[in-house]
Order: sequence, then structure tokens, then C-alpha cells
Amino acid sequence: MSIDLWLYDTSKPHSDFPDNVATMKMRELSLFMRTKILASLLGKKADKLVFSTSADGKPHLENNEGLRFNVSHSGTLWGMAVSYDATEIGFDIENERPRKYMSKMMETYFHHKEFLKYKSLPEQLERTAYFYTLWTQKEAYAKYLGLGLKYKFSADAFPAEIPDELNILSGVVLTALPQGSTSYLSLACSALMSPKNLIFLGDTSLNVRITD
Amino acid sequence: MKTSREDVFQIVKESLIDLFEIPKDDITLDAKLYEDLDIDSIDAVDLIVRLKEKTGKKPDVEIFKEVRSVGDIVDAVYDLVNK
Repeated sequence: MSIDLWLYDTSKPHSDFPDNVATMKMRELSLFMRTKILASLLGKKADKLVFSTSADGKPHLENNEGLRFNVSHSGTLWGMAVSYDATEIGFDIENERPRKYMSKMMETYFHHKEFLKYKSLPEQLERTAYFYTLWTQKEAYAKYLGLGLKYKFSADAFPAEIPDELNILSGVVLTALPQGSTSYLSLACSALMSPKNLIFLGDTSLNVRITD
Repeated sequence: MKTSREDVFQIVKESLIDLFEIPKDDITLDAKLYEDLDIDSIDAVDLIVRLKEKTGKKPDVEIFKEVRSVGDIVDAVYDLVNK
């Protein structure tokens, strides 16, 4: 089984982008990139792809030959995870940014154990890393389940492990991240993956942190 | 005392400016949260915490499944604070 990740910094030129990328809203670009990559993978014309969404809003492709995908974007980053053997996946990216209500968000929306751990961390930098790590894990897990906002972040306490490198999956297309940026990525899937340096949350999640 | 829709709109508007540095002229009742203002789910939770602080009422995070525009949020919060 393999899962491929595409990740782009859309603020930088790339031959995969349309000519009018500078004037496109992220949502528009996201739909373009999603269609372009999936059409290429399936060897079909873009206009032959038929997308639909589940009752809870998870997008999928009709007549997909076992292909599953999940898209995320944050700031100027856009990414998509793809699996090829009907392995369900959920994927999330977040760009770190100051959040005035971070502690309140932890207290209100996360598991009590997670909030206690957050509070126990001595430095704000550690707290921020923990917050974004957990957020992306839970968001990816919620998207994997196909529940989105219906999944209550307080339902489960997650361990938050951060492996050292992203460059661990086949087919990864990485562009350079902006200088000094810190971004967090999590992928949740329904099967164990073989690369030894993927870290799993239970049996369903991996989390990767990219620092420039 | 009843809080007016305009009051709620001002609270939502100030919150969007303060939290996400969205230009004030972009924040209209018709502005789409996801498409026009680039609000994602983490921002939605951030906004809910802020709105709870400002209004004393906590909107459920699931309302963001239903809302599409700033006006939808204003309506949801208006209903909540005047319940």
C-alpha cells in the first residue's frame, strides 16, 4: 500500500499551476489542482472526472478504481494525499500563526488530558507546537472518518509524536517552504503503512512537522 | 435587553479583523466565509471562542457546517443571544 502526498507553496511559481494562478482564490486553485492531479493519475481527461460528496461533506470521485484523496490548505500551502487501494485517508495542513485564544481552544474543544498536558508545557513555543500537532492529527482523523466538524475533538486523547522528516513517502512533490515558516501536516489512514519512519497514532495516523 | 443584528454584526466584524486581520471592507453580510475570507475550521473554532467571550453564549462548532456567509453567522449568534 502506498500513499502519495502533493504539497505546494502556491506563493511561488510552479509549472503545475495555471497561468492565472496569481489572480485565483485558493478554493479555485484547489479545485484546479485536485482535478489536474487526479486526472493525470487515472489517465483521464479532467472533464471526465465526476466528483460527489458524502452526506457529511467528504468529497470523493465516482468510478474511482480504488483511488481515495483528501485535500487541505492553509495560508499559501496546498496539499493533497492520495491512496490507490481504497484505503480511506484524511489529510490536514496548518500554517502556524499566533492565536490569542489557543489556550481557550484547548480547554474548550480538546480532551481534558490534552489540555492538562498543554498547560504543563513550560514554553509557549512547545505549547504552540503541541497545539498544532494535535489539531492537524484530529482534523486529519475527522476527515478520514468523513465527519469533518461533526467529530468532537474532545472525544479522544491523542498522543502527539513528531517524526523528523517528511521525505518518506513515494511520489512526494515538495516545494520549498517560505523562509522561517513552520507548518504541520497530519495524515490519517485506514491501514498501516510500511515505511519505518512513519509514526502512527493508534493504527490510523501519522504526523509530520516541516520546519524550514 | 435585546441585542440587535447590527450589534452582532459589529462583534463578528471586529472579531474577524482582530483574529485574522481581514480587511474591514471585505467583511460584508454576503461575504462567503470559506471562499471570500479564507476562514478554515481552525479559524472557525478560534472565532467561536472569541464570540463566546464577547456574547457569553457558546455557538456549537457544528454551526459552521451549515453557515456559508458572514450573515449566516450573524443570524446564528443573534438567535443564540436572544434565545
